Amino acid sequence: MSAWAEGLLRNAVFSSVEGLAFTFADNCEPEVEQNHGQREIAVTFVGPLNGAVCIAADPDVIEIIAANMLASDEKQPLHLQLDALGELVNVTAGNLLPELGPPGAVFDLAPPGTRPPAEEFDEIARVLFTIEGGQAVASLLLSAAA
Amino acid sequence: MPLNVLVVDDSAVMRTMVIRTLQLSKLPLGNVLQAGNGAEALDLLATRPVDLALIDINMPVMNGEQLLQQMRADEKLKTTPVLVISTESSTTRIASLVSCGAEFLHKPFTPESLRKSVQELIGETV
Repeated sequence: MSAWAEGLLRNAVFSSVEGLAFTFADNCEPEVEQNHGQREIAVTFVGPLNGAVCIAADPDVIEIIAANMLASDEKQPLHLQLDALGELVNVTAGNLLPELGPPGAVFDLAPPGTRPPAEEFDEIARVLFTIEGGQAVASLLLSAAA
Repeated sequence: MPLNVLVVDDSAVMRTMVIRTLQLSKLPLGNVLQAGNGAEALDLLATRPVDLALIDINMPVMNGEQLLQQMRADEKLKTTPVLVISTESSTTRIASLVSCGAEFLHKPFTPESLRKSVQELIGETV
């Protein structure tokens, strides 16, 4: 794990939560990590570095993100909740990659999807955080060949 | 004069956010069309021209760059104002989009930034 990359990932995901989902992310200590049926979305990227940004979140966290993005108090259907989580990952990747790559680097991002195979990537950074009490974790994966 | 708009993004949530933000921005909206990728957008534009297209870059089937290139190569669509709304941060790619006559707005955006971008693109008549 890289403390430098972890700091970049933390800044990227926290600012994305605030700017896109209109709420705040808080730091969470690793020893209290729990998985309450989390769902995960990944955005893979290719460029000077190849990899993926992933966010897994508790169901109640995904509900909050979707409700805030849609400015609705009603529980959204699952496909819209996952759509909202995908956009959060997309924006996080967009915030992170300019800091991660060389100046002027061009990255191509794939549409949000599933986490790529573990054997092809190393997890470089991992950030555990909470949103309104629910847990989520962001991961940065880079190609094992990088 | 009502502004007919096309919003192109593979995320239904993001399309909703863009449309709601346009409404909050008090722009005089007419028809608001939606497409999930560039190919769907071209199908719509073939029969329903718009005054403004707001397009994402990162989409399946046909991405926003390809859509913009196709629009600029089409006699009927080449002057349609285009605002690219994306997470893209590469100055190289943004410069390439701007050279095709598009304006660029970074995601996430605010109602103020969207209104300002639309006004710069369409003119102060809106």
